Amino acid sequence: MKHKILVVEDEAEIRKTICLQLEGSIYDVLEAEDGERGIELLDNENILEVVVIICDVRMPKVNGIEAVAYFRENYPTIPIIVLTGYPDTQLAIDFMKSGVVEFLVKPVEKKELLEAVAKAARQHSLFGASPSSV
Amino acid sequence: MSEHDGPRSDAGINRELQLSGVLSVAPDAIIAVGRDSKIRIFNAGAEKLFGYLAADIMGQSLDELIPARFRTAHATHMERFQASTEQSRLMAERSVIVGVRADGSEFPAEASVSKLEMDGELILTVMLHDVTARKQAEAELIAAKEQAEQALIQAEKMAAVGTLASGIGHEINNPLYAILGAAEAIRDGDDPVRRKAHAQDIIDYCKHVSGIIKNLTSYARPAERHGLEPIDVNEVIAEAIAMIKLSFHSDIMEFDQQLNPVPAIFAKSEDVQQAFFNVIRNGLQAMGSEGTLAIESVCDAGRVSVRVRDTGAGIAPENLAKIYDPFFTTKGPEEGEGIGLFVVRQIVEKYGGIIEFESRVGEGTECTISFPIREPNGEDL
Repeated sequence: MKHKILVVEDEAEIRKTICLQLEGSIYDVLEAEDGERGIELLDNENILEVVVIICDVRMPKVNGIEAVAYFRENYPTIPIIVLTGYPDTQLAIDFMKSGVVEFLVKPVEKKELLEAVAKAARQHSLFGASPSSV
Repeated sequence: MSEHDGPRSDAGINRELQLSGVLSVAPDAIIAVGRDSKIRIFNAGAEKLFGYLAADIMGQSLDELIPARFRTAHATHMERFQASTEQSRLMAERSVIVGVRADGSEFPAEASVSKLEMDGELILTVMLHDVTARKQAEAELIAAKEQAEQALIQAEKMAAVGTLASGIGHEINNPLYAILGAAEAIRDGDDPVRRKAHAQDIIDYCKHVSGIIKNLTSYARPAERHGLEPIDVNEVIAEAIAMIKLSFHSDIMEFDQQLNPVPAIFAKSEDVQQAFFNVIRNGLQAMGSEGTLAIESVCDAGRVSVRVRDTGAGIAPENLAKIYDPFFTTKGPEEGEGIGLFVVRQIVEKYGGIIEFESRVGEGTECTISFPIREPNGEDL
């Protein structure tokens, strides 16, 4: 079974960059250009394969706050990393309270992103069957 | 004076007044002239106000106390009054007349005039009240009001800059992230073709950031450096939209633009840009998360008109009259202080423009701003 990371991000250049940073990791990347598409992809995916969600905050249609709430409610075992261009302490606190694993502020270095993914994946493995390393 | 004293002649009354000292203690200037305009009475108040001694001015023409440029008009005024059946009138209602002192300096005064027959002669009595201090206070009040309005406009601009800074931060952050990712890929990768492609990406993103900064620099030019210039409102609207896109990373940035070729208007482009920026921003904020903002420019009856129409919540009738009031807002604190439209109206009226709003609750709001196609001083182009 191939493990996947769902990247929900409306800016194409950022999606491309995240993919670049995840290149060489053990994960395939599923790309969604907004929250609505992210939910649609996950609803149609073998959820056992998706081990981490990386989600932007400000997005058209369904934004990150709504999408994260949906993911937490419907897929509570999948760890979420929030990646935003708008550092906001209250927002970070709210996300962390809702069970998000990491709150990262763009731009984020490859090393930092991979560490966050590894941390998230470890958390996933606590709840369900999943990978051991990045 | 008691009833049993009986009627007296005007001359008697005049003498009595002088004797009783009424004329000398009256704080206002009291001047009486005959039909020939020669001065017959010049009280202490008049001496103080005009700087003449009564002894020196008595018998001279009233014209001595009036600036040369107003003498003809004044004479006509007095003749009309003499011929009229009125016994008294306020001169220059709601405005003031101008007197000239012995030293040639001028002063504003409120005047009233009355007529009476005295020893068979028609006498006109003028009472003058110096309003220099009041006029000065009024001028100071107007200056203070203008200063306060300017401060509000500046505050609004700074608030917009704050939002803009946040938007620009985001706009620059994205390509920076992409540059970071591409640089890491060059560092970590060894495929020369891919490394070259990443390097090209870095170059492109750098150009993108540079374009943003160029745009910002043109927006942030201080207004003082520019005089009135012929400006194309379509260009200004395009710039305002570009700045809006930087300021608001909005999920619903759909613009239906019908910008028709229009003649130039005379204004400062940054002022007009600030006005359109505020109106377009309001339209977007009114729509929340969905809708299309229609922007149309037309030339119509000697005016350039721009209509900005949103499909938002609309403005309740009871609020429509208040929209220009400083600090009136129905938005949340994070969306503005309520001085945006106040500023827009100041700017629009400064250039002889007109701003109007039409709104239906639940359907949306249309704002029309029109400017004359000529310089504000009235000269046609």
